[in-house]
Amino acid sequence: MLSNNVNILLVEDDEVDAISVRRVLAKHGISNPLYVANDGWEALAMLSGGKGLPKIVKPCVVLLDINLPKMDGFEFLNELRKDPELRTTNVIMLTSSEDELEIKKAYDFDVKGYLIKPLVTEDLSKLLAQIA
Amino acid sequence: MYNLRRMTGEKPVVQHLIKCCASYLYTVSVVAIGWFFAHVGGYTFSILVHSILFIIMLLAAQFYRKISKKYLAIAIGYTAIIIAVPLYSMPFTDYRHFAFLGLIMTAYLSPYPMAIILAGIVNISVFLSYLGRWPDTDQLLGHTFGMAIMSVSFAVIIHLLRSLTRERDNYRQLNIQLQETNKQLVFLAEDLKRKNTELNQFAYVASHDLKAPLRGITNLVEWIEEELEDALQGEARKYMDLLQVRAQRMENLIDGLLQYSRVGSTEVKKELVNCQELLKEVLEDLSPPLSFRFSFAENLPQIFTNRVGLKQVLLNLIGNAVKHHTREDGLVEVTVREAGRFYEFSIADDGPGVAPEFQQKIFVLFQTLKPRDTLESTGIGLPLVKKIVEEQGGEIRVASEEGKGAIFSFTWPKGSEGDTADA
Repeated sequence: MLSNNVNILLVEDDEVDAISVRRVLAKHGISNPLYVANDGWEALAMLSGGKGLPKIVKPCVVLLDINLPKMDGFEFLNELRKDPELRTTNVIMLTSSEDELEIKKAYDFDVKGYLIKPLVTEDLSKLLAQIA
Repeated sequence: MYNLRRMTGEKPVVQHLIKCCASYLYTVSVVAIGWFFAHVGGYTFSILVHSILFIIMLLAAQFYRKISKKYLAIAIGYTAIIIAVPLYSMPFTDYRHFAFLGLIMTAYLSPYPMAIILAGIVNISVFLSYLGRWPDTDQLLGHTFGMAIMSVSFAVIIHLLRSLTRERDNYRQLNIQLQETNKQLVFLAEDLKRKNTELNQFAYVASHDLKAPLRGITNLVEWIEEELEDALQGEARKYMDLLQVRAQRMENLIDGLLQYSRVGSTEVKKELVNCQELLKEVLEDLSPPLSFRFSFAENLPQIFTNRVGLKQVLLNLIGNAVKHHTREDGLVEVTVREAGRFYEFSIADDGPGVAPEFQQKIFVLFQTLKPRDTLESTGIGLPLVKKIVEEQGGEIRVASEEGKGAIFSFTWPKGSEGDTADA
């Protein structure tokens, strides 16, 4: 099971999807702190702190959607991997795209897993266990 | 050659000969009239009559179509002859023979019948010049006869040459047109391909984007249900259930559309498919009631083909037979026979059947024969099957009577390496 000190940053612009993740986690007794960023830009700001947004402290894991406004999932990954402080951040994709090209692209950015919506807790737990 | 002539509308040679003789006969009759006028009114009167005829003909020609350069050349030639006639004071010579025949040739080369008529008039002028010099009737007839034969021979040769030239020109024209049409076809085919791809892309993207909010709705309905729990009763409970069924139907429709739009849009790798095993897989996927009976033919082939497509077709057809059956102990029979470079698969059931008036309708997108929520019917299943089969170059049809079961038959190509059948 998940160690309680891992912060989860969900990057998701759809409120219903965000609630869905929150509910699923709650239902399975996963009580890690869950933060939600609406786009890649906001997520970066939250990880590096500043811009008036709450800073996410390590250890943390990012649950990342692909289709996002302002800065999409891949642009976010690109920026993340360039940042010397954040480049090692664990990322798990959580998206509705089953496109093989996108899956490959995501793994090229060294993501720890690729999950298809809706979120299945067991899959997430397994991945988190691997990371921890 | 014969076919080409038919294609280009070229008349056969015999018809040319008839036309040529007829025009010469006409020329001779004009000569006769000219001779008559000269005989009655004298040389000057005859010239006058011809000049008037010439002007009328020019006007008529101008009325019917624009005067061509060739036509004008002949008219100028004619005028020259009229002027030259008084100069014909010396005895008739070979030189004038040739001048005359040259004119006839020019006339026959021209595509205008009017030119032939003009040549006839020239004919008269020349004869009238004889008339002034040699009133001897025997000599005149002799000359006329000789010239007639020569003119006809020339005319025949010229007509043959003309028909050959025209045939060649037509052939060239046809070739050019064919190349033009080919280019257009290639362009159209590319355009069509591009539009098809765009359309499929559109359907795919649209369906994909439709799914996201729908998933949201499904989630929200589920949560409302969870939040309300026991408070949800009576009508509200019923409406909530209906809402969920509708949302499910929407999802089925979108999935169906996604599937439908994907057919043929991606290159599929062919593989050797054992139909017996494929049918086993289909049954595993369908998991029909245990009491349902299936009978598969012994001679099911191995085909080198698109496995996913063939499986989808069998899955849908057998699935339909099970889904629409009124009894739990229905029977589905799958048989196959060879039909040229195709296999014809038949899926026969002893279910309720399809009434003749609906047999075309069932292959039309979104057409269902039962209230939409009674079964998981989206109206995409059979159209999808049809699209897959036709994509392979095959056909699908149904034979059925209401209440007496249905037989769905489709043809599927044997495939280039599929001749290892019955191995």
